[in-house]
Amino acid sequence: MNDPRFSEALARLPDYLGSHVLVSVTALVLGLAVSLPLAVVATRHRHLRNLILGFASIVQTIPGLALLALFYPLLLALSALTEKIFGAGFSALGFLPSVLALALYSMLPILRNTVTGILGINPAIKEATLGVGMTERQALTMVELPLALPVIMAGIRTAAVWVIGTATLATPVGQTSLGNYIFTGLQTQNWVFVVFGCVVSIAQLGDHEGAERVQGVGSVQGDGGLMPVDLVSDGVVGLSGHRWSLRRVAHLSPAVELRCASFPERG
Amino acid sequence: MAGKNAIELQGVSKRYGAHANVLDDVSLSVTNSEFLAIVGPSGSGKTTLLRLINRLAEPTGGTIRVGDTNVAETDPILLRRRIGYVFQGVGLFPHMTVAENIAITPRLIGWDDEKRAARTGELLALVRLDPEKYRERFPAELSGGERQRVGVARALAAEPKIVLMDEPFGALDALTRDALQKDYRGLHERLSLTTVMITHDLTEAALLADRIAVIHRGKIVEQGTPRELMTAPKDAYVRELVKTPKEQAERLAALMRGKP
Repeated sequence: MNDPRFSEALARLPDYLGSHVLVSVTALVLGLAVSLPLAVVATRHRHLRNLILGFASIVQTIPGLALLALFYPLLLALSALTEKIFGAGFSALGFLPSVLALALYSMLPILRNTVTGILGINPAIKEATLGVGMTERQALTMVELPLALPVIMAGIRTAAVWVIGTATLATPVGQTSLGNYIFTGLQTQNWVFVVFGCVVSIAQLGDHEGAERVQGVGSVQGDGGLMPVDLVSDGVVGLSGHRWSLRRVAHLSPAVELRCASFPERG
Repeated sequence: MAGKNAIELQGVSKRYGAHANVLDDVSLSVTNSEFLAIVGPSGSGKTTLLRLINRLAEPTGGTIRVGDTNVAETDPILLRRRIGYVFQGVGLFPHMTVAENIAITPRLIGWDDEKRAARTGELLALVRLDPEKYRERFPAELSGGERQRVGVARALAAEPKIVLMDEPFGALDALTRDALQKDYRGLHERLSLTTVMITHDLTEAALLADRIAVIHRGKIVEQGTPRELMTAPKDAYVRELVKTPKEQAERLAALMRGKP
């Protein structure tokens, strides 16, 4: 513990951790802002649904590091273009490519779970929203989204785990993150840094892991067949506000049919 | 005549894609304060017929009038808000309490909290559920009969003059069913509603309705009072339909007289 390398690592923690959280949260917020409306559109149009989910699935197959790296030349080209047109470019390194790549990375679980959650609602309830005189928008906000919320929240949590984990790979594209410990440590053979980086990264995921242990992997009968969906732990549902008391959520089971499997999912 | 008919269908047909007509040239009228039962087997088009009235479905041909207006020229949202609809699967919103479920249409048309709360209490009493006991419950905490009572209360919440019911009592046990049928008939009279009820059960239709229309393969094959249909059916299908409940009634009557 008196190793100077350890105290140095500790001294860098506020910077690395702060940057890591900032880039992760920004990416997640951006991912949500894009995915939620897209998912709602996807539930309304079958063809767009296949297109949107297909695109998100393809993005997901790209390794995290490759996706991050890909944005550097892309943004570089874009920056050169804006320089030509507007006379001002932007930095193609660091925060921007990291946020964009991570946001893209967060989309699949949010899209998939939102679509599944909404399409999994009992058709009789959907019919009732029209029968009592709701507009499409009212049906969405008053009934469909609230009923799909537990499934959507599970998707957001999976996305958060993926983003926070992948953010350690943002170091090579110039974004400070907890990955700095690992990459710097590897280059300088500073093993204390490597271990420190790993431990902090894992500890940071800990909050989510704790929640994940309560959930299993479920599948929901959607109209495209069975899709994997996280089961919901009460902790996260509780976060979403007083109107979502456990008592309310306890009555959601008829809306989505969840089937448990016995293994936990890893992001 | 325009003011007398609450609902009027003229030459209405409905086709899905290239398939045969689900409804074929159906003409039907329901007078104010009348209780009409539409009886038919599954697949006869009876649910489609009901859905056409509040524009949950659009006809391929013909015109439908509700009151003085052609429904094709009305905003479907506003139309549905002034017609009560009781669903086959009840369709209560599972994340809302009984009170929130009942007050949904009043909320959509902008009644204030106080008026909604008063109306909810009134309706719960009307469908014979203790308001204090049931107001804050969730649908999952109710029995099938209680749920359907709430479904009826929700349909009546915005004070509609017309109520459409799709097999409302189908899934209930005999005793609950009988109690609900009688209670609903009472409400129909007390509130002078116009009711159109879909059912596959001729006995239910005969005991509840003022008039019965029998639908078979997308056509109305016969209409008349329960008495007319039970005693002198003209159509072959209706004769078949009437046979079973009549035989059962006779056997029961014989049983009670003490003969084998």
